[in-house]
Amino acid sequence: MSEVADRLLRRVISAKALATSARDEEEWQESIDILRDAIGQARAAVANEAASTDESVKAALADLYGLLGGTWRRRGFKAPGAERRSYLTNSIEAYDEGFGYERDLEGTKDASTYNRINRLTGRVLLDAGTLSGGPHSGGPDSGLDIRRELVEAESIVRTQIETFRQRDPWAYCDLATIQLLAEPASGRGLATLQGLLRLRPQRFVLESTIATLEPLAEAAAEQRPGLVEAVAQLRREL
Amino acid sequence: MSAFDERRVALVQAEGSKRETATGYFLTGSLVLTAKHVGTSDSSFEVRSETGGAEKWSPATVVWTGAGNVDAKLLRTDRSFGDWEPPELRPEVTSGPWRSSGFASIAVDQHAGGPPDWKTLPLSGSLGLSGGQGQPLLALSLDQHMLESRISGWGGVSGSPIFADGAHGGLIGLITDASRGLANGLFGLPISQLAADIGFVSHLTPSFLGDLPQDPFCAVLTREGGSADLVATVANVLAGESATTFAGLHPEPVEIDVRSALGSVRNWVATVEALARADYLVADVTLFQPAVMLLLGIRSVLRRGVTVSVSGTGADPVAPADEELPFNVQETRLVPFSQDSSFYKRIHQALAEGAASLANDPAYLDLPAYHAVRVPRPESWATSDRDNVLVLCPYGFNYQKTFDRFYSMIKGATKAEPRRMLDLRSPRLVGQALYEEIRWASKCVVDWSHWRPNVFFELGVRLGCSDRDPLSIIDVSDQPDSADTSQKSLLVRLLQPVAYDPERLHEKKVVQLALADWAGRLATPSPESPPQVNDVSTLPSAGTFSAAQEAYRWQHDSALSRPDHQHRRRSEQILGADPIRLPERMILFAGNTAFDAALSAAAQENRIAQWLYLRHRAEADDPGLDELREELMELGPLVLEMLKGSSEPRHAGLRREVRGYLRQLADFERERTEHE
Repeated sequence: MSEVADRLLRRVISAKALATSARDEEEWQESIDILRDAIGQARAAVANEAASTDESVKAALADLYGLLGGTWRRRGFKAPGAERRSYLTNSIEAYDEGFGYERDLEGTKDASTYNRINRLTGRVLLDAGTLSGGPHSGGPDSGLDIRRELVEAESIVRTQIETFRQRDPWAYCDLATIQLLAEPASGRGLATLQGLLRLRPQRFVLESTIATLEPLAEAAAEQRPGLVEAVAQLRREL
Repeated sequence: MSAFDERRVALVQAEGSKRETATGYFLTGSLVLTAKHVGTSDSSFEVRSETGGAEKWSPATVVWTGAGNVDAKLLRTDRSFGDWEPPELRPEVTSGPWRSSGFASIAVDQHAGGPPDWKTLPLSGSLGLSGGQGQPLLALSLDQHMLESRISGWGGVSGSPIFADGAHGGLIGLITDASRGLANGLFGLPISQLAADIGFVSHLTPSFLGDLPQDPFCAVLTREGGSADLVATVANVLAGESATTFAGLHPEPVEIDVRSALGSVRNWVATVEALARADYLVADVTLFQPAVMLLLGIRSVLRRGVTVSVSGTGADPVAPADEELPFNVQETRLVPFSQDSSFYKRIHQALAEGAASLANDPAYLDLPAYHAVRVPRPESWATSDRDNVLVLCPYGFNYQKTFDRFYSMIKGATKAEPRRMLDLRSPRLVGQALYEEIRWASKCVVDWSHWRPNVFFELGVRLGCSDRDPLSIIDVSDQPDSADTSQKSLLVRLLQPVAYDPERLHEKKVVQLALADWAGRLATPSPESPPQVNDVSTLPSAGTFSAAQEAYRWQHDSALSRPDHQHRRRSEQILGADPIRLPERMILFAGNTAFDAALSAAAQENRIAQWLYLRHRAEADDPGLDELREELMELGPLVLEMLKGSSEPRHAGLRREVRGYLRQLADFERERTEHE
């Protein structure tokens, strides 16, 4: 890793901690500003020769966009009506941006599926009907076939878990989320959550997974009852 | 003929805790000889030459300093001021007429309101040798007379060269001091004290490696009879990956041809320097040639990595059977050489992975010995060292008889018990114990017989890490004949092992005499003095150690790592650099809940310690305050994140402090931006 990239990554890690702290205190705009500033610095570094080829910088960018998407999403949950929809749309846009970087990293040690999954869950939150193959009701890239994307995502995460992400708790969270969304039967998704628990993940991993699944359960409980069961199971572990 | 050249007189300025001006002399276009007492260890230097065109000043760095009370040092200027050959050194001249020129403060041309012009004052006179206690000095009588009331006007002449005045000329010393009682008396350091120092001489004469690159570089150690393709492939790898993996690395590898390395003392010293400085070393270990193994042993003392061993160049096999692998390299990965692209990939991967591991893992090693020779001296050392002699030798039935004969001989000469690796009693792993012993044993005998690779690797370690040279011996039947020009012959010439006939050990007293002489020298060590150069092809006593000590890149030594960096590393070892993005546990058995909790607490404490240390530095108005502020700005949020949710009062207090400090820093930054 180049010295420029190393320095940048330290700043990014610090910015993420600061943004997370602001987000937890519901200082939404402060958190978003911190993340946007860090994204600006990282993008400038990517544009700059010194760090342009460094995969870890792209991974950091994907991660920052993921965090930005998550902040918009949480803000959306706290907001009423149209505002909520607008924030959730911002959230999907951030995940889509992050996915752009994430896709370049497939097969590398920095590979992740966070943005890939959340750009799909974001669309489900906007319109749970997409799970039944129905048309998209607005939001960015409304032509996206959610069910097909879920199948593709599952295949990718599975391969990663079989290889270099076998002990990465986030990979199990992503796979469980996909499986719980992909089919009405909850068996596979709940089994994957057991795999996650066997890794004895830290508390913030469980809290974050609940924060992902709970709104999905509220939006799509009818089509995907396993989501409710999964949230209950994770809550018992806290 | 080597006459004094006024154009080569240099004005030297040292800037540190105090500012000093002195004189120097360009021995070459960029190498300036001056007095050691000019400046301090924290001084920065600038040198001025009137021959330098429009730009007359150049920054300079200290490249050599006289040992003990030898009042001389060498500065290397960043740019060259001329195409000058070193003057002839004439240590034999200790009397007669002399001449020089120096920047005496009495000659300063003062301008009203402007900076003074430093002018040289021509100096001449006659000299003689001042003996008595301590090192001899040159006593200089001057044709010029200083007023007694202005005796301090000699200030600035320190470092002026002393040349013999006459048809032959030659450098015979440098001015170091003014006489306290004589208005026309100065003292000088005789050049004999520099001419005998291996470090000083090494800087004057070019080596086969030329000037090593100032950038980080990769060296390739090639063997006798090897293939040139190895250097070419490494060059291709560096060029092909220069934008990514090897960014900032010198584009061309430096080849160290093993025979050339042994060709002269100067080449040997340059090789040791290259081994110390090379960020990467690719070594051709095919057939485990003794000189290659010796140099790898020295490298393993000097650098933790990255060193990659390649085998199978030329027509020789890639690797011998396991049982033939030297013990020291059994754990080392050998990269098999081939002419196809797979070798390119393998060498690239080995270098890149080695560099990444070296950067992240303080325990990383790709050669043995580095850590073991840095282990503190054992508690029992005082008695065990007195009673034992370490013997590095071959093993096997054939050699056992020889060793049995040596045993009593060594014991008789040293009054101590000869011990081989298999006789060591330390409970440590065998390799660890061996290298520890190699470092600390005062008495060491090395038998070169059968030219065993193990023995030469161990000899390299010993030469690199101990200033007590071992006694080298060799079976006369293994000694190359005098017409031989192979590396074995060059090694014998350089290190001078004592030849013995195993069948006539007691009849011929060569080894006994050598042992007695060596033991006697060990018992009465000479006072601190640099290794003396007696012959350009024979290494002086402790020559390798001295070269290694000079060349060692101490900036990399873990003992110097900043306390906050150590705490950061410990925290990151437990939780990873970015625990939110990658929460995978790296510590073994961290799934044990109690252990995991203790680990988290330890990571937390290390972050706190990191914060407190940086705060202490920032409050002490550290010169790097801006950088410290930036580090604190980065660290603060991580500390807050880590202490989040803790109900411990001290953590709550620290959270308040961190938040307050971050606010102060943010205000400071805002004000500064507005001001700009």
